[in-house]
Amino acid sequence: MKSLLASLALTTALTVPGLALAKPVTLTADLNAYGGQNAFLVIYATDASGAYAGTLWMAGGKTRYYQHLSNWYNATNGSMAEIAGITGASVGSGRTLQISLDLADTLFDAGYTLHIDAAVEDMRESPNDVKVPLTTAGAGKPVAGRRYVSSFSYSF
Amino acid sequence: MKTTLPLLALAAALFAGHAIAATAIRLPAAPAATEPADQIVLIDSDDDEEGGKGNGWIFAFGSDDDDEEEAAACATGTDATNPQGCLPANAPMADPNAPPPANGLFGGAQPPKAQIN
Repeated sequence: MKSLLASLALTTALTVPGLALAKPVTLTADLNAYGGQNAFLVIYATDASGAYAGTLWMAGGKTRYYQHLSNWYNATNGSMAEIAGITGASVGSGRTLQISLDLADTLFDAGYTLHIDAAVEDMRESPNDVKVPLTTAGAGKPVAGRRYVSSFSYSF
Repeated sequence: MKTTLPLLALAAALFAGHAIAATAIRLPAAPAATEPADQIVLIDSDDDEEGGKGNGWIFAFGSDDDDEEEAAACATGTDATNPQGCLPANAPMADPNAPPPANGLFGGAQPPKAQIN
C-alpha cells in the first residue's frame, strides 16, 4: 500500500507540472470573401532566431498541394510527421477557422512568432498571410492578414 | 460613266460596312480562342520579398489534367518551381487521429481541435 501511494505521489508530481506549463489557447482566423475555392491554411511557429519550430494546424487534406504553402513546405519538406494528428478540412471563402489547443507557456514572450501560409486554387499563393508575435499582451488583439485572411487572433 | 460612279460608291459602301461588321464580330472572339479556360499563366510575384519561392500562382489543382501533370513533375523531379522535389500524388495523408507531434509547442492532455463556422 505504501509503495502504491508513493508511486501515485511520484506520478502526480511528475504530471501536474507538465500540465501546468501549458494554457488553453484559441486561434481564430477569419477569411476574406475572396470568392474562390476553399483555402489551404497551415499555422506554424518560428523561434526567436526565425527558425521553424513546429506546426500547430494544417487545414487541407490533399498532400500534393502542400507545396503551395511555400514557406512551410520549404521548412519541413512537406513531412507528414509534422502534421500528424493536427490536420483538418480546408476553409471556405468568408468562413472562420477556430482551433482550440493547449500551448506551452514557454512559447509566450520568448520571441516565438505564429505564421499562416495560405493557398487557393487558381489564385495566388500567400506565404506569411499572417505573421504575429506570440506575447501575452497580444492575446485577444486581432491582426490583419495580407490576402486571404481578413483577421487573426489568439486568446486565452 | 454616270452608272459606273454610283456602282463604285455602292460597292465601296458595302465593302466598308462588311469590314466594320467583321471587325466588330472578330475582336471579342480572338482572346477566347487562344486561352483555354483551365490554362494558368505563372507570373513572378512579390512574394519573394516574404520568403516565398516566387512562383506566384497556384496551379489549377482542381483540374484532373493539371493534377496529373503536377504529379508527374513531382515524380520525375522536373518541377521547376520545386527544385527540392515535392510530395507524390499518392503520398498518404497524415493520420488525423495520431497524437500531436512532439515538437514542444503543445502541452496539456487535450489534442487540438478545429471548427469551421
